[in-house]
Amino acid sequence: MPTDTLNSLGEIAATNTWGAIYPEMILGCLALFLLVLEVVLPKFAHGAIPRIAILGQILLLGYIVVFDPSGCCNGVAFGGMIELSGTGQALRIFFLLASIFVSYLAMVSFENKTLARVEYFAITLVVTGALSLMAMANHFVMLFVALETATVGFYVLVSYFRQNVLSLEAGLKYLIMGALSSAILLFGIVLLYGAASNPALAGSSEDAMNFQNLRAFLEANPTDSLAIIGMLLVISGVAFKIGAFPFQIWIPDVYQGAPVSTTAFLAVSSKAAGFAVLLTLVKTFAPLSSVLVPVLTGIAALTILFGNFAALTQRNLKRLIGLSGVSHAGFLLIGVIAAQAVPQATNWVLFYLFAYLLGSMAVFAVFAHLPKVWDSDLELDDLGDMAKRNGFLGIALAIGIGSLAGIPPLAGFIGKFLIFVAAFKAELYVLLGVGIVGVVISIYYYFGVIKAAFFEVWRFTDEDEEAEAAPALPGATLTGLGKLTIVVAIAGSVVLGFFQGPLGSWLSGQ
Amino acid sequence: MTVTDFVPVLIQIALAAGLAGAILTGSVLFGQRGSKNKIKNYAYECGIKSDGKTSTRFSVKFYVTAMLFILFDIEVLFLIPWVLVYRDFVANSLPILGPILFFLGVLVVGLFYELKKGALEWEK
Repeated sequence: MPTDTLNSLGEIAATNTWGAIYPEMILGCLALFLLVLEVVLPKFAHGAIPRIAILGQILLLGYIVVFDPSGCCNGVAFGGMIELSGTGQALRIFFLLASIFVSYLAMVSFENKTLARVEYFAITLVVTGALSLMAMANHFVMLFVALETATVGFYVLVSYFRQNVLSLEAGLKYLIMGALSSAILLFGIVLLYGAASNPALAGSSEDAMNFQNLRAFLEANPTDSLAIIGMLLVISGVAFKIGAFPFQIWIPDVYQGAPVSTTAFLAVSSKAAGFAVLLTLVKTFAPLSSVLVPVLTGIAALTILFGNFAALTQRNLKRLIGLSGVSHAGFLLIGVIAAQAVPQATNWVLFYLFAYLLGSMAVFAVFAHLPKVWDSDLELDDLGDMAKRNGFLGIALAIGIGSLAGIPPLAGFIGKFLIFVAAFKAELYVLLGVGIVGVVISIYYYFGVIKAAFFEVWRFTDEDEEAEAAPALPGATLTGLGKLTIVVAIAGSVVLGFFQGPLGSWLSGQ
Repeated sequence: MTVTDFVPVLIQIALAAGLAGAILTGSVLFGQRGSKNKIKNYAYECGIKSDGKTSTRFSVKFYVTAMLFILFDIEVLFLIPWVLVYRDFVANSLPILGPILFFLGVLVVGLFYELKKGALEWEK
């Protein structure tokens, strides 16, 4: 081999800080370990595998939180492929926490079904690792590979209930939409690469897919039409992932059909990863902000309004939460736009994500415990005065929904408040107004869910026939572990509402 | 390169579309027309009526074979270049043995999983 190739390989090898991505490597190895356990353990011991998956993740999360809360190092690694930063570390913890909840939800909702179990947990681990690499990506190749690893995993997870037609439909729709969005993203990347590696233009680079090099090129050529089209296509591809208007069309069907654990995974982790990418890309595309900001502003306003109006008439619980998630994406977009002018807004977006995680997981955990064979059939009426029959689940639902709606003193309120402060500081008055209108509309359907859970539902009774039987008592399968999980989610929502200090200072110290 | 440098591509696209359009229009305008009937519209199959479904189904077991193929295919894909650059890397004290051992370890785990799943017991 020529010496200069070897020298540059040596330089790259020196930046291969494998120790910095140990959580992702451990997640991958744990996934392989689970698969091996499945073939090694006798059949009756297979029930232990989900528990081992959860235990492994809790140990990893505990290790990171206690010994390594701010990450080992800052700066680019692996020859510019990934950027290690405090934000990346915060998101890594976020994804791990979400993945623990998702594994638990899967354990609950698979209990009464005949399905292959182990693969779900292994795929969850791999997807989590890929999502946190995606959040750290500093190069379009890394971004795309991580994104595809996560998305291919999601294709399987969405259609996991293969006896259920709705789950298969959701899987097919997600596959087609996912492929389409990947194609759009890839086309945008190609245009940007083509524009930025053109040696005739100033600031061009041989490694134009690196975000720093791309930014340097865009600074030198802020009016390059090819680059602007490429940027818009890349943003569209990411907008598919976060479910922003007008790319939200897959959300209701996929969220309804997917198993409840996958819905939670999509709604929380996948969306957060999309925002992590968006936060990085907005920094990269900053020289084009005269185009980018109006586009994102329009998307954010329409996303908030669409999500809230579409959720108003929903009766199906998972569709409702999915569409409300669309409006949450809109609020987060406000934060992302504001982050260009107000640097702290990045941390506030992260805080909002943590609040959204805790609130959503409490709600989805309640859904997982409701007695329906397929959770895609859950309607508002199925909640029917649930709170009276199982007070614990009722309170969990009220706190989860309240936090999502942004009722003080819960965490969701603080999250929305910080986003609005960011919008105010960045002088985004139109978006601020739209956001406040959105919150007011959302109160209607969020409180509809609480009302359904706390008040009696009118059921048709005919004197000649027997009254329609009320659904069985929910939560018959609520175990100690289940209670603990839900308590963690709702306690997190309450504590973060009153006392944001530690999380806030940790995020800003990053 | 500017956008104008892509004009040849545009011309190519226009030529392809134009040629195809011209041939189709020409054949409609000048071509001979015969009477249409059901038999003439059949796909030609030696005069025998076509039978069976157009898409055949595969046994799902093929995925295991496909996985085995990928396993060894990728192994070879990485191992041959690895052998070729091994000496250069060692001479320049670049890490080369550890990474490939990790990679092979993952492959062995995959192979073990496949065998335990009964990949080579076709009759099962």
